[in-house]
Amino acid sequence: MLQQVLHEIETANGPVYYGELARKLGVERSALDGMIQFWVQKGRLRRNVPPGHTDSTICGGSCRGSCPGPNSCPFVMKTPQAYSIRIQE
Amino acid sequence: MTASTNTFDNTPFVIDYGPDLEDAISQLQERIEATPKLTQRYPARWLAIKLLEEDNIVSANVAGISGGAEILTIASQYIANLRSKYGEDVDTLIADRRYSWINHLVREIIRQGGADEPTTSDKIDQIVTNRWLGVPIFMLAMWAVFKLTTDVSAPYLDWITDVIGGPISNWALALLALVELENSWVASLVVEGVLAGVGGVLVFVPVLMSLFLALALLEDSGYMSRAAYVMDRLMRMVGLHGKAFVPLVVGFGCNVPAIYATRTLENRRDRILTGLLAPFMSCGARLPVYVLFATVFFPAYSSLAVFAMYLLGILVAVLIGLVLKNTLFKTSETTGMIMELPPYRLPTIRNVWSSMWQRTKGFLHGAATIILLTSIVVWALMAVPVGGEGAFADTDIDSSLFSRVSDLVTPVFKPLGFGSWEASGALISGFVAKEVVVSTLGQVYNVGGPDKVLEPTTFLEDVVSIVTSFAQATIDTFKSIPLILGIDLFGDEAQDAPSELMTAIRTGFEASSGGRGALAGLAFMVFVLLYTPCMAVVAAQRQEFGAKWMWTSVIGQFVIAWLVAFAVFQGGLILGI
Amino acid sequence: MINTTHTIALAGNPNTGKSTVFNALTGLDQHVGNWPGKTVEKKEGRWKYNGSEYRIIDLPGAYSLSSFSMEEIITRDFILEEKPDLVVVVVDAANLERNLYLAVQILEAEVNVILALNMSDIAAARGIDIDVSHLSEVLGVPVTPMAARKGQGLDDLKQVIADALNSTKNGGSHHQ
Repeated sequence: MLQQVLHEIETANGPVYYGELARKLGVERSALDGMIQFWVQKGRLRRNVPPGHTDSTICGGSCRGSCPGPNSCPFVMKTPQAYSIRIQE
Repeated sequence: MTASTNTFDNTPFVIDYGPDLEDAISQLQERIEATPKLTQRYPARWLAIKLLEEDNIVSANVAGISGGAEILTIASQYIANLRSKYGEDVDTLIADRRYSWINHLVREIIRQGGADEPTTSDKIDQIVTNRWLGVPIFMLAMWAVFKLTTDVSAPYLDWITDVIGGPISNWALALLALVELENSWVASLVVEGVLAGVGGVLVFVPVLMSLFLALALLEDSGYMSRAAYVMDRLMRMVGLHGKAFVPLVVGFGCNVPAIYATRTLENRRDRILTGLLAPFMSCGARLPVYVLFATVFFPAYSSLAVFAMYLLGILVAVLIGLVLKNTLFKTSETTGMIMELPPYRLPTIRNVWSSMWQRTKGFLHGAATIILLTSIVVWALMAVPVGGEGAFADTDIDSSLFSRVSDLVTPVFKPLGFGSWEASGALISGFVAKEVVVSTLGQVYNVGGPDKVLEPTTFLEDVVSIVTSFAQATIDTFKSIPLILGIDLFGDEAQDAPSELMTAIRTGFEASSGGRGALAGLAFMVFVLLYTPCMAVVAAQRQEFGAKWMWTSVIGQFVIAWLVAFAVFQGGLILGI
Repeated sequence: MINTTHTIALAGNPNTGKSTVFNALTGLDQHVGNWPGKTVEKKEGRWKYNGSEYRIIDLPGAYSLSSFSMEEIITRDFILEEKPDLVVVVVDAANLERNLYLAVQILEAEVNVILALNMSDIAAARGIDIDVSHLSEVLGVPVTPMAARKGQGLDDLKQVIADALNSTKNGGSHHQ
């Protein structure tokens, strides 16, 4: 199950989304998320968040990329949550 | 559903981990059971599993108990064997079996509504993210955004133009008169610097609010994530890194965060490539320029013209991406990625408002700081006489320092149809921030000046007229809504008389292009879309990618913008448009 | 320390309505502190039912019993070291597959477990139909569907807890 998740992400032609993969493997979305978090802990998947960011909110302007929160940022944009295969060095 | 049996089964709960793991578990379990100090503390089978999972806390506890070290040694042998056989850590194997066991159980006990059945969101996604329909639907959504942006905001744009040009200017002059400064350079600074410059940009606040409103609706409903997904696939088709989509989508709002967002890419080459392409995504600051020029030159098709700019930006980015990918940035394979598409939902007023207001505030903040500062600098340069004629703040604009300096680059823009010092000057100061193009145009074409005769009105009359015209604008906006859908309920109304600035721009561009004003206006829009990104973006590029790539972007984009604008203008001339 | 007969721990993933269940059982009779040496909040309370008194501990929300997060370690240590008489695992019926990942690990720790199938109303609204008795049979523990937020199924849960504690062999061994 876990390996299948990783394999599907690796071999897919283009990005995969949760609902699509969950249906394909016959698992609940939230369970799929659990498996993804497992791989994140194992260092095989990486959350696509810029360094210094704790969530997928990206902002710009005077705060120079590290977001002190939406109230002090001139421009905030929330990006979809995504994970990608970590390239083994 | 009703409660099940109320008593416990007395047989312990066991998951079958398969022959190899079970063999290791039972061997370890046997050893553990022979060590009472361990069994006092942990259930034997549970401990065996934890040791195989290499749980560091449990392992450390076991190591501290006599006889624990031997058990750990045996465990590590099993771990090594299992790892070499399966090529995975044992905790992964165990977690995998657990998930499979649960999945099997869930399939048995969920009689209906299980994971195989698509939800409404899934069904919508099958269409929206479809390989063939995804991109056209995305285009359609964008078209709706610009239709909304231009149509809904138009009445408010007129209203705020009148307010700034009328009552606010009156009040400013009245205040200056009170302190007997109405004929000094201070009056010139306020009227030609601040009101013409900052005011010229502020009139576009309704336009930006409409854009931000539309974007917030798309974001909060969940469509934005799908757009990102569709863009991602488009990027991959041209061989770009999939993850490039995030910075590029962010770029539609503002290019600065887009540059920082490239950090999500692992490979430096991909980061740089994406950072070079992000400025082609048309940011919110460029919108006032498009709206102004589209209203001047293409009043009947203004939303189409604005939409075309955004599409052109994407197209150019894709083409440049293709070229760079096959020359400078050849390597780097794409890695697999999974993303969460949150379920669709009805946008909430609270979220939409907060997102719209946050961005509007950002724009207003820019107007109050950088645009104000640039406007004052431009005003000062316009106030300085060159060649002995006139005095400070009392000089013929054509012989000001600003016009003389701008004139130096005018020949560069001659083949593009806007070789006038006014347009050149606006483009130069537009480097500070792209909205400044508009503020500078407002200043250089500020034909009226302080001597402009204003109808005397009382404060009360002004306030009443502001309120009533706002109400009229709101009514007009509601009237325009059916028009968005292509239904003309209220019949054609007389087109509003163009503002002085609009007339001045039209005259200026007609003159510089030999009577092909519309074509030159289009070329100017294209140039503003593509040319050197603003100062803040350049600084971000330098910080993220170094000076070399920053200059590549600065010079590269100027050249590309020039070439495309040249093609538009000269091509148009040849075709006789 | 509250001097009572039985200790009941509430465990579950974050956002499963565990706190709602805790509040429903203890009412105002609760005490909030921190886990010793940790920054994680510890909630403890007293529940009186049919003349008996129970000590209830609300364990922090966790997804697993590994040692990845503080919440997981606290949950694990409490279950293994304090050996509560009963662990009520609160699961989200609408996300059963993910929630069972923690539940089966608690079952593997060989403690007495009751599965509180919370948010049954949401699951039902999504058209999810769960065979409760079969689930109970496979896991070998009582399963009670409920919707804590609407106050549904709480009485059932109370009864199931009381019955379960009476039926366990060592149920009375903690009398002081």
